[in-house]
Amino acid sequence: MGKNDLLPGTLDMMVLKTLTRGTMHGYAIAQLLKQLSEDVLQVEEGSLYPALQRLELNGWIEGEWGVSANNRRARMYKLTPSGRKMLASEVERYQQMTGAIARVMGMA
Amino acid sequence: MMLERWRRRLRYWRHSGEHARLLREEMELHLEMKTRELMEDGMAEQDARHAARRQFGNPTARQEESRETWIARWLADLLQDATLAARTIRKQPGFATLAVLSAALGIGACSLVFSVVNHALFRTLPVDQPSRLMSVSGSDLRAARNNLSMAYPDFADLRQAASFQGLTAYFAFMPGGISGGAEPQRYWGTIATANYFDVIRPPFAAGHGFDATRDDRQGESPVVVLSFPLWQSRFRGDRAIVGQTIELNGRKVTVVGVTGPGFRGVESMFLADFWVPFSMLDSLAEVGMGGERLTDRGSQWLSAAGRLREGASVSSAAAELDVIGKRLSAAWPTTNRDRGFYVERAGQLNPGIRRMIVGFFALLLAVSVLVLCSACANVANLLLARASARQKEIATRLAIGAGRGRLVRQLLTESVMLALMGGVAGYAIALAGVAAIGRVRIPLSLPIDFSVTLDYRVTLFSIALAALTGVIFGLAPALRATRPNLTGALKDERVSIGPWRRFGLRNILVAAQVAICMVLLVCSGLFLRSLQSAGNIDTGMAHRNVLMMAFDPSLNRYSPAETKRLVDAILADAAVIPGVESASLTTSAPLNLEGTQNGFTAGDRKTPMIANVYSISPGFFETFGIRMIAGEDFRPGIPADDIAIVNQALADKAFAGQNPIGKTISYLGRTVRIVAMAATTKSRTIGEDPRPCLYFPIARELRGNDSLTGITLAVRTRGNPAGYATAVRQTIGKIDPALAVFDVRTMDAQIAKALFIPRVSAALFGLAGLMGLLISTVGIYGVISFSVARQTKDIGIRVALGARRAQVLGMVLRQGLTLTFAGCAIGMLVALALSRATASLLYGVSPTDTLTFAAVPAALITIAAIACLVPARRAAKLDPIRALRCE
Repeated sequence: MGKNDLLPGTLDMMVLKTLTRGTMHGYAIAQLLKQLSEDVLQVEEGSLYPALQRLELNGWIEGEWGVSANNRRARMYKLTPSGRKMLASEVERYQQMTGAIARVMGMA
Repeated sequence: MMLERWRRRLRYWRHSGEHARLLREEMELHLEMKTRELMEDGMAEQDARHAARRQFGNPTARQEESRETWIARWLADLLQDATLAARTIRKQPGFATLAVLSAALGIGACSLVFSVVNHALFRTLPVDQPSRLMSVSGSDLRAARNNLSMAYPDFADLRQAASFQGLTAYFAFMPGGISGGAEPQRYWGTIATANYFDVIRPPFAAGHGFDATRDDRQGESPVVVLSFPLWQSRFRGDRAIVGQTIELNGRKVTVVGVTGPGFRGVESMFLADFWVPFSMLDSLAEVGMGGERLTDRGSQWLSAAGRLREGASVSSAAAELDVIGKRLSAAWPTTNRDRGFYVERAGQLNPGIRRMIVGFFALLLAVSVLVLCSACANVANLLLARASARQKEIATRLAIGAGRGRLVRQLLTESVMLALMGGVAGYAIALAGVAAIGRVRIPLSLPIDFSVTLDYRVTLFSIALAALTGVIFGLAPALRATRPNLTGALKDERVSIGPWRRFGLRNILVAAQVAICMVLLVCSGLFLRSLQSAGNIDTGMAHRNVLMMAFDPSLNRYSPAETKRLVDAILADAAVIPGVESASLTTSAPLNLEGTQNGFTAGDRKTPMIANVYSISPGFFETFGIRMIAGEDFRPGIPADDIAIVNQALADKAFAGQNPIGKTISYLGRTVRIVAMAATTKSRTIGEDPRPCLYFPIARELRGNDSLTGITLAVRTRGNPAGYATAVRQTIGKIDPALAVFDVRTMDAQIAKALFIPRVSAALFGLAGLMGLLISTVGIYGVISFSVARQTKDIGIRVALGARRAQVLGMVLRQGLTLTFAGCAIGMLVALALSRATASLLYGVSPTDTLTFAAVPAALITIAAIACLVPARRAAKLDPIRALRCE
């Protein structure tokens, strides 16, 4: 499964959404995405990492080296205030978009 | 937001290697956790590992993608901006040329000045590992003075210092007459301990340095190392000269080597023509610099340089020398009390000169920065003009969703690109300027170095300045251009039709330019006026028709008795040359910056006064046309007593204006009787206040002449003195063909040299002022043309409604001249404030000189009017029908 299977920008949005649950490392984010989508969204897990870099560059999340649940050194990500704002506007945009798509599909 | 991203990017770039490693670790951890989870679900380890890998995808590709997040996108944008900018620049070659030219002038001026300062502050010697080579000098701990000479016994004691691999001592002011080959000439050399070249390690063009094991010893066959320029000019770069003997100060010496082109010794400004080892010391004694040089601790005459040993630092060496200095002070309290040693990197300018150079060039840099600002204002104005012409394009791009930041960045890329092109051209200007400076000879007969080289610092400075310039002149136009009234701009409406907008940014910029130009021109005007009045100054001498030339008998190993016979013969023969009215000798010519100064005390006063000291032959006052106020000139022959002639300034100062004749002064421990008083002349510089002068009979001084500049023969001629040069030279040549004759010049030429500083200042300010004038003329012309173009419709309506051509012409001219007047007024105020600071450099002209302050604004306004006239006439000739149809 390639990363292009998702709508553009949605992976970033979903990562941001996941992080509203708290600070977590890359693997945990991937796991959570999989669980929440009930295995429907099978993102190639590696593509999570460029997305994390992108979000970090924009200042929407912050990564810090910490210790994972099973006592391993892991990079823990958390949402920044500007990330939270970004998420809100992304969600709005997303809802408009899906609403529009749904209306088009409903009419056809 | 953007700034934050930049900060994060920079942090990433600084640690990009570590960043990649950590990302890798993060991914490994992910794979491992996944594997463990799959194993917990019952998979075999090998299978779990593979499955985890499969689901993860290609980690290297992802890592690459992550890296691109930080770098590539940005690079791609830059590339896109640059391409677009290059296209825009190519499309408007006229605009680009003006902008590049303006920036080039400004950047060139700044780079040139910076290169001189850079040379003065950071230059390195062209030797092996220059950073390990130290200059060691004596210091006076009580007076806190460094860079003093040291005595040979002190140097010998320093040699035990463990901080240095080797220490060498040298004396850089040894005159050397070289005859044979061409006409005999006088050069300056360094006499050094034989390990000199082993310590300094300069490059060699041919041969090698001294042999440290033997060349020190007295009586060894003498050797010499030539400098590259001496080798080129005197021996035509002939390699065969190595191993041959040449005649130096009348003694046969063997040439053992020639140094590489850049190496002229370790003194910062004094260039060596040749080097000889200490075995030639007796030759130094023969040129009048004798004495117990190697044994007397009180005779401080040497400079020293040392190469640091591995592991030693400047501070550790300084600490060690401190200890040695203290020990010497204790052991030799009479000579070494309060004396220590001082270490610094070799090749540094001494602090006094450094301060002077930095001060002078700070002023110049300020001037160049003003020119650059003016140039920036011009380019900014051109960009503003263009931005409003491009309003529609930019509005369209904004309307279809281009981010403002992206547009600003793109416009900035364009202006920075223009500035960088200007920077390259400016660098070329600096290069040419440096070559010109290298040809400047300061009017001193000692070979002082003013050659400047451009190094990476100058290059970096130019580039940084260009980039900064681009941002400065591009930012305001870019910000303004991307904030248009969208609807208006899209409909192609021009915003400011009709009344002149009085305080637009562009008008302020032009007024500022005029103000800057005004300041520069006023300064150059003041210096020019200073030069003019200095040219008319009374020097106290009848300086027309005087020819001078120097010779130094000590270089040809004349004994005092022989010297006496020689100068008598020269004087007698010169006096009978047809057309020569009077001939005389002096150890130092008037208005010579190098003249000797010494202290004396008058009567029972305790505090010594300083006087300029001349040793002269009878006839000196007649030759130079100096009026004798009281008493009589010296008589020929060696006087029986210690006598002297003083000038009026000395009498005024030391004897409160009383008749000094018959009074005595104490000079260098001698009691000297005053026999006459002459009128005061300018002694060292044209601009000086009256200086006390002491004239001694040269016949007495010949016995212990220690003048570095030799003896000057002066003749007063009928008609043009320059025409007598050959005849006088031949007269000396007939008496001794091996005698080097140097510094042949007329007194007028000497005076012209004395005006060096006002002339250079006037030239520099004048140049900067002209650049400023050029730039602001272009600026005024540009602004007015543009405003006429924008008001085409408006003017058309006026003409159609019956406005006469003259009215239109007047309207446009008024716009331009209002700006000029405003600029002049501001410039006048600034110039008035600044001219007070230059007052000390001005001679015979008030810093508020009326002529300058009237002429400069008049000239500026005239030129501005001409610049406005061209677009104004264009406006006046407008055909109303066409104008109304336009657009």
